[in-house]
Amino acid sequence: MRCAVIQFAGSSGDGDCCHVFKNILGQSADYVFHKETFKPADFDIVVLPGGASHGDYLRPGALSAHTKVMESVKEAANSGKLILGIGNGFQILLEAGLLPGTMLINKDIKFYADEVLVKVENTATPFTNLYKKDEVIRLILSCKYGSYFADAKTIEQLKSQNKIVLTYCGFGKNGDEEDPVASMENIAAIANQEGNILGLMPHPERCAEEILGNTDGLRMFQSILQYFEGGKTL
Amino acid sequence: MLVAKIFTFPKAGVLDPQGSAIKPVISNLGFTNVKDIQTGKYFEVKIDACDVAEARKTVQELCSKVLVNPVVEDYEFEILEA
Repeated sequence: MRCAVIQFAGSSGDGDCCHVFKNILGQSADYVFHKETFKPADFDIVVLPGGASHGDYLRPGALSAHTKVMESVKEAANSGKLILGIGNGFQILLEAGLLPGTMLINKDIKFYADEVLVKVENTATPFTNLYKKDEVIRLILSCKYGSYFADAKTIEQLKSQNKIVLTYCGFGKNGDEEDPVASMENIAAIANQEGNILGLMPHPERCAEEILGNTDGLRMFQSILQYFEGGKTL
Repeated sequence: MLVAKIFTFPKAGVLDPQGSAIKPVISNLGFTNVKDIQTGKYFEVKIDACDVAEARKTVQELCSKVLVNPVVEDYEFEILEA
């Protein structure tokens, strides 16, 4: 499996994502800078990492969505390559129009950084095939603009097409903190209609090895590997 | 040279937590006649255009492509001589 990790100005999750693919999964992973382009044929999966890219100026993800590299990301997306957007990477996918909707500022205007309990709603995706349906896992949420918003028609489409992949079901380590993000339908992750693009707000790469005290995120990366080793069917 | 003054603001019904946070402070200060407050953004854009019609077209494209998020924001603008 060949992975491209995009580096936007200000990305901070790029190193962690590269580390997981290379050092934990033993796969190939290369950085691609936002001023560059790449050939979609050279990679199997493209990761848009987290971290307030371009300072979150204008709106989170808005400036990154118009960088040179996004021409290649869109080309890769349209040719069926897997695209994974994590945190700010999810916001970039929304601003680029590769996923529907947008992110609003958290309802209490605070930056939230803690564990969250997340329910796996859809396991028939290349990103979640090793989880169990309705399984509750712990991931790390780290965002200020984490409140998913879309019009009623889009929400209805996401629900009817089963494209809501993860939902929040508890905040904080015990899951008993008040919901700081107020996402519509508790959305934490959505996929596009074809299923090759996933955007998620929590960070699986920050809980992908024992030393971090939580390995629930690792299965997302192992699912991607399983998808390629198992014959690539969406 | 023309100058476009562009205002963006949340669409009706979209939660504006920053506006909601400012409102009680205003009440505490005694501005009891202020009934509501909404936050938004202001952009000032200098445009090298032959006439106002050309500048309007540029502003509309600029807003629809990047400055405004059409899912949750509306915008208004005016064009003045620089």
